[in-house]
Amino acid sequence: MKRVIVVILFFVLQHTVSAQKKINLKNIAVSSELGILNGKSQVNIQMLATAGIQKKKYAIGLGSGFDYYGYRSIPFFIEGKRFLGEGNRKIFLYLRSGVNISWVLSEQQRLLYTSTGKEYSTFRNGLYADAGIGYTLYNSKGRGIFVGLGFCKKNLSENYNDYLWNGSSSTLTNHDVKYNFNNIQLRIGYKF
Amino acid sequence: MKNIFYIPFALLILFLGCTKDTVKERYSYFAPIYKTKAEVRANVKSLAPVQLQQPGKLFIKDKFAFLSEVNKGIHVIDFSDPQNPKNISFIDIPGCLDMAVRGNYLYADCYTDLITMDISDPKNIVMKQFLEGVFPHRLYVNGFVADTTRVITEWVKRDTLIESAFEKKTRWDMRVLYASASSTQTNGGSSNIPVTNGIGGSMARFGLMVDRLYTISTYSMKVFNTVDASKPSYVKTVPFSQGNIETIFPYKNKLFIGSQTGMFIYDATDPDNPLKLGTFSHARVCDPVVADDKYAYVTLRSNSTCAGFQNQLDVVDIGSLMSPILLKSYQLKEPAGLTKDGNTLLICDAKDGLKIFNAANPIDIKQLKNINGFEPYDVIAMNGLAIVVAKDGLYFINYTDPVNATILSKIIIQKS
Repeated sequence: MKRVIVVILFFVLQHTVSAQKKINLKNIAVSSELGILNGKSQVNIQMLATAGIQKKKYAIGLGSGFDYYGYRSIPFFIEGKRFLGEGNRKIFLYLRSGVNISWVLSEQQRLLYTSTGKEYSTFRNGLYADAGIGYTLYNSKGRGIFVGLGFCKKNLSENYNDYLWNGSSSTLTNHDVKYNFNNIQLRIGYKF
Repeated sequence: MKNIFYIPFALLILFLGCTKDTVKERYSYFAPIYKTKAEVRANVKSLAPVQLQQPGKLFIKDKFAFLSEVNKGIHVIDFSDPQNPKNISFIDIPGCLDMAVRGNYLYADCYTDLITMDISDPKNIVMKQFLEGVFPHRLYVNGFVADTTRVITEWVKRDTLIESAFEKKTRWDMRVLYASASSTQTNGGSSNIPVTNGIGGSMARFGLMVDRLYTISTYSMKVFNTVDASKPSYVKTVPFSQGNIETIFPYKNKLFIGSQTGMFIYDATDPDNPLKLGTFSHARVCDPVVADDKYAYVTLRSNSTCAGFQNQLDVVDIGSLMSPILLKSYQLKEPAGLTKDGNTLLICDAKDGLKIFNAANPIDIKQLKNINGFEPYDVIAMNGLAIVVAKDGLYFINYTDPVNATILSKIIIQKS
């Protein structure tokens, strides 16, 4: 999966560099943002960076970062934006969709002591989706702060073994767990 | 194209109230199937033989071997022709782990109860008595508390899907449920028990001495009066000063109790009031024990169940019963059950197979033969015939000439 990400990032950068010749530099949109994720089980943070192209009232790009809500993961997504209004201060709607790459902390993995040693649970990737509304506070050069409010959904799966009593002895039994995390995001970012 | 970007708005409004984190866990578990006690009692009789699947304790009486099927019942095996042993019947006893034979009566546990069966005709075994509630410790199994009004006859595997809310946790150390030794292990053997009683072994939890039946649990020993062998009666419970008790080996008027931290010697001259004489302590391991007039032979085994780091045979001088002394240790692979017939000592040594020793001189025990290619964990030996429970079957081995001991036959264990 990491190789796929590297390849995709390479193509994006290549496309961005080659596009500079055709597209005005003002059309390149690179931003970073920090989000507070508020769900029923916890409050946590997310850090993202996106890069893409903005043309007229639309923008499209790729983004990634760190998401600590529930289990730590790396969302990797395609982003689309629709700007409403004119000028440097305007409302925009955004939509993100992609994969949620599991990168759990070791302390978040279940641990089973077996006769042969320790056995940690394994995690599988899931999906990532994020949508909401934002407001730009850009300067005359089209750079500056933006804020947003949205809904984020991510999921991933865990697989682990556990000993269960079968009436005469303890036997290893496999468990498959699907986690579905939903939260409201309040984000602040900066467009370079 | 314009409208597509209004969809996030709709989604946002739709999901704003839905910030619940959900967990869906899919797994299998085992659920007990109950029968009434009347139904269970009606079924305690000789039934058609069934294949061995998870053998437990072994007891020998004359030419019949009684081999428990863990928590399910007892196989009756006719080995009058050791080269062609026959699995002749099966007694359906839910919750059966341990047994003993006195005269024509077989005693077995049925979870919390003690069952007495008439085995004068091993092909037509009849239940004689059901002594209820004498093993209360069997109510609890790895945290599961059974319904006391009924009897668990089997456990069935069920798939389930549990939905719950996510709770933030750090390290989720899972339950560590090691299979208890009592549920998976079996006996070793001895050949010096009076003929009126059957022959049990070094890892048994039921032991017979003349007309008393002694049963052990982790923390206590129970005494049953078997003067009337058809109607054993509960006498008393003798608490142990410590837990982790595993085995009992009666020899003459002494009881050798094996625990994970040592061997205790009890004097049963007053059979209803066993009195602790001495202790031989060792590191925390499993330790089946057999004994003769002068020495006790203790195998120390370390594994995931037993913990510890020792795998050896300890020969203990019991000349002074109050203060037994370690005479010598012999390194082994992972020894389990053992038995002694005269000067011949047989030890089940896991993947190393069955080892036969000349123990005429306890400080210079010499290996005579190693029969490998199987993984034995329990053995009873008598008059040149060893009956060995291994992971893949019940073996009959001729050791009349120990140096040339050979496997005569085998009853295969069916893998589930």
